[in-house]
Amino acid sequence: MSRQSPGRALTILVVALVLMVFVARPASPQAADYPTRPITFVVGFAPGGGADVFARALADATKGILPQAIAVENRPGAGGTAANAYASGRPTDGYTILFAHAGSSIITPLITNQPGLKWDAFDPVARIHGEEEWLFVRPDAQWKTPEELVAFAKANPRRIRVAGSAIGGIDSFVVLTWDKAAGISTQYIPHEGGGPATLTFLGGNAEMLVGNVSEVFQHIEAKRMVPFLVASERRSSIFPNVPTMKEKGWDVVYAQWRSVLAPAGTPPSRIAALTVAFQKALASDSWKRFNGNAKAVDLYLGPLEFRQFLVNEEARLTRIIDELGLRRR
Amino acid sequence: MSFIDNLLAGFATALAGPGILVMIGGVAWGIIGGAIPGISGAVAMALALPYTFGLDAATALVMLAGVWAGANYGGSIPAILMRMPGTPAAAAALLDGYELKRQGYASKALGISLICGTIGGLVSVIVLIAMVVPLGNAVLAFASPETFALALFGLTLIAGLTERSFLKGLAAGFFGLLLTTIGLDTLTGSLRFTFGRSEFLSGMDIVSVMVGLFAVSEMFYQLSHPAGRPPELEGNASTALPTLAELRSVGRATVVGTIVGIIVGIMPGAGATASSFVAYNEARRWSKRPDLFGKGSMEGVAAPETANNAVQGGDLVPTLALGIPGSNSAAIMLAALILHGIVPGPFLLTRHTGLVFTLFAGLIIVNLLMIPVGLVILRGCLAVLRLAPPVLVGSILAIVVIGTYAADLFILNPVLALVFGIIGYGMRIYGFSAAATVLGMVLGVLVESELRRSLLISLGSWSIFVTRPISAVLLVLTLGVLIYPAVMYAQTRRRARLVSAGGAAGTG
Repeated sequence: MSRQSPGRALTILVVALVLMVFVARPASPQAADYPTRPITFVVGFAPGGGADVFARALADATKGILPQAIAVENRPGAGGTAANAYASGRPTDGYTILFAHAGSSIITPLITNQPGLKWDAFDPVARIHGEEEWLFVRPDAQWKTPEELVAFAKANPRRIRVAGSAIGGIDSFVVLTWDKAAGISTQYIPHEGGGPATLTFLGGNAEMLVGNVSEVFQHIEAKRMVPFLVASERRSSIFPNVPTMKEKGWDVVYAQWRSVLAPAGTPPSRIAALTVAFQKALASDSWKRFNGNAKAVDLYLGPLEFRQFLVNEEARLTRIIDELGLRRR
Repeated sequence: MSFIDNLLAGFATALAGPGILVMIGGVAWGIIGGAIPGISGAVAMALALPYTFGLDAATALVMLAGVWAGANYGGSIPAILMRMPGTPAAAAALLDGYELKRQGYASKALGISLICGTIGGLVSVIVLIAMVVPLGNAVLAFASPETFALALFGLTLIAGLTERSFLKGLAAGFFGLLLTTIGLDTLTGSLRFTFGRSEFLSGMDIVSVMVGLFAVSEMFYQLSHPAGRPPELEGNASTALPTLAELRSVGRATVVGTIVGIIVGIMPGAGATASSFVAYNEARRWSKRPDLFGKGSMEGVAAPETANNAVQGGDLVPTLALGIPGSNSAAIMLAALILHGIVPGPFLLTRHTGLVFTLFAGLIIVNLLMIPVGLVILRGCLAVLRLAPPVLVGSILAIVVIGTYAADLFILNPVLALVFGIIGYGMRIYGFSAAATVLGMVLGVLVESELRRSLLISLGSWSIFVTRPISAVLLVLTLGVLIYPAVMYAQTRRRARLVSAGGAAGTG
C-alpha cells in the first residue's frame, strides 16, 4: 500500500551490514578461530582394533586442550587405504585428519600401486607414538644368548621357526632384515595377526615369536616366554636388560609407529595448531595411562621432522618390498 | 570367595543399575543388526562399542555379550524368510529354513532357530564357566594341521549337498575354493587376481557373494518360475511356534550342534560359519530322517543354529584364558576391556575375577533374554509373509543393495551381489549347488592357508598331518566318510547282482 520510508530501508541496510561483518568474517589464520566445530579423525580400521583404540585415546587426551572435540570416524577396508581415499576427498580446512601407520600410508599403497593414497598425498601433522618390535623365545630355549642362537641358525639353516603376522607387515620385515644382517636363514611362519602367531608359538610350533610386547606382556609375566632381542635404536625402558639388535651388530631398527596426517593443502597454521595440541596431549595423565597399558613409547615428531622421517622410511621399506618381489613392475 | 560366591556376585553386578535394560537393548540390537546382511556379529558389536565408553567396564561387557548372542540368532531371520543370510554363519540354516518357509512353516523354523540356538548358547557358556582354565590349555593343542583337517572334514559336506550329479557338486565346490584365492595372500604378501582394484584386497566380500547366490538368484528364479504364494495352512499353523513334540524331535540335532559348536569354537582359526556347516552335515549323519535334509528338515535348521550360538562359549576360552581372541567378536570384547584400561592376558581371570564373573553371569542372562526379545522381534518379522510378491521382491532388492554396500562402503559389493545372482540363477537351472560354492568359499580360506602354514611349521614334511593325534583322527574320519558310502554302494550292488544271478540260475 505505502512505499517503505527511506529511514526504514536505511535501518535494514545498517543491520544487514553489521550482520555481515559478524557472520561472514573472513577466515583469519589465527589459531583462536580454529577449531570452531568438531574435527573428524578418519581411521581406516574397524572399531576396537589397535588403530582405533589409539585414535580414541589420542582424541580423549586432547580434551581441554582443543576447544572442540576430535571425533573418530571408522572407514575400514582395503588395508586402511579406503580411508586414505575418503580423507583425500574431504575439504582441506583442518576439520579432517587421518590416522596413518607404515602399513596404511606406505606399504599397502606401494604394493597395490596406488601412489595417490601414499603418505605424500597428504600433509604430515605429527608422529605420535609407537610400539617396539621384539623377538621372544621360550624360557626353556637351548640358547642363552643371541650369539648362541645365531651360531645355531648358521649351522642349521631354516631350523629356527619364527611366528609372526602377515608377510608385508613390520613383523615380517624385522625378521627378514635380521636374516640378512646376521647372515642366517630362519623359517618365517606368517599368520593373519599377532594373536594366532602367539598361539602357534605357545603351542610349541615355533622357536621364536616376533611382535609387540603389549599383546604378550602377561605371558611374559607368566614365564611362558622371554623377551630376547629388541629392534629399537636404544634399549627399551620396558625390559632394560634385553639387548638391542643394533648393539649386537645387526642394523635392524623398526617400530610400529602411529601418526596423524591431513589432506594435502590444509592451511599450515591449522596444522600447527593441531601439532601443538597433540604435543600437549602427550603430557596428559589419560595419555600416559594409555601408553603405559599399551606398552608403547612416545615417538613425537612435528610436521617437518615427520616428513623427513617418512621420506627415509618409504625409501627403506621400498627396498624390502622390492627384495621380496611384493610389487608388480 | 568360592566359585559360587563369585558367580552370585557376578549376577548381582550384571543386574545392578542399568544392567538389565542395557542387556535387553544389546540383545535387541544384536538380533536386528544380525538380520541385516553386511552387519555381522562382530560389526554389530563394533558399532555398539562407542556407546559403551560412558559405561563402566562390567556394563559394557554384558551389553556387548547381548549384542553377540542376539546377532547369532538374527542372521537366520532373513535366511529363513528371504533366503538371504544376514550373517555368513546363517547360510547353513537357510538350506532347510527357506524350504520350511516355502511350505508355510516360517514361524516354526524361526522358533526352532531361536530356541535351539538359545540352548546351544547357554550350554556353551556353562561349559566355559566350568572349564575355562583346563580348556584354555587345550587350545594350544590345536594348530594349523588340526584346523586344516577340520576344514577338509567340513568339505565332505559337498557330497551331501549334491542330489543328482556328484561331479556337478564338486565343480560348484571348487568354484567356491577358486573364489577364495582372490585377494592379498597373507602368507606371501602378494596380490592374487585383484585386477588392480583395492576393494579385492581382502578378498571378495563373502556376504555379497552369499546374498547374490542365494537371495538374488531366488528373485530371478521366482520371476521366471512364478510359484504363487505359500500354501494356506489350516488354522494358525503359519504363525504357530514349534510344539514340544517338534522340539523333542530335533533334540538329537541340538545335541550334535552344541558339541560341534563348542569344539569348533575352542579351535582357533575356525569360526561360527564353519561350525554351522559341520553341524548341518553331522546332524544329517546322525539323523533318523536324513532324507528330509534339504527338503525342509527341522533338524537341518536346529543343528547349524545351535552350533553357531554354541561357538560363543568356545570362542571365549582362548580370549579369557590366554588373552588371545578366538574370533572377531571375541576381539571386540577384548577391545572393550582395553578401552577401559584393563590389560587382557592369562592373568585376567585372577586379577579381574569380579569382572570376569560379571561377564559369565551376563552371558547366562543374555542367553535367557534371547527367548522373550527374540519372540517379540520374530512376531514382527512374520509381517514379511503378508507382503505381496512384488513388494517383497522390491524390499529384498533394497536390503541387498544397502546391506552389501554398508559393509565396506564399496559400490563394488552390490554389483558383486547382482553378478552372483545371475551366476546363482544359472547354477540352479543347470543343477549346480550354490550351497557347495558357499561351502567352498567358507572353508577354502582355511584349507589353503592352514595347509601351507602347516607345511611351513613342519619344514616341508607332510608327516605333520598324521603324527599329530587330533589331526590324524580328523583325517581318518574324513577318509571314512568319503569311502563308507562307496563301500556300501558296492556292497548293495554286489548283493543285487548275486540275487539276480541266483534268480537267473533258478529259472534256468
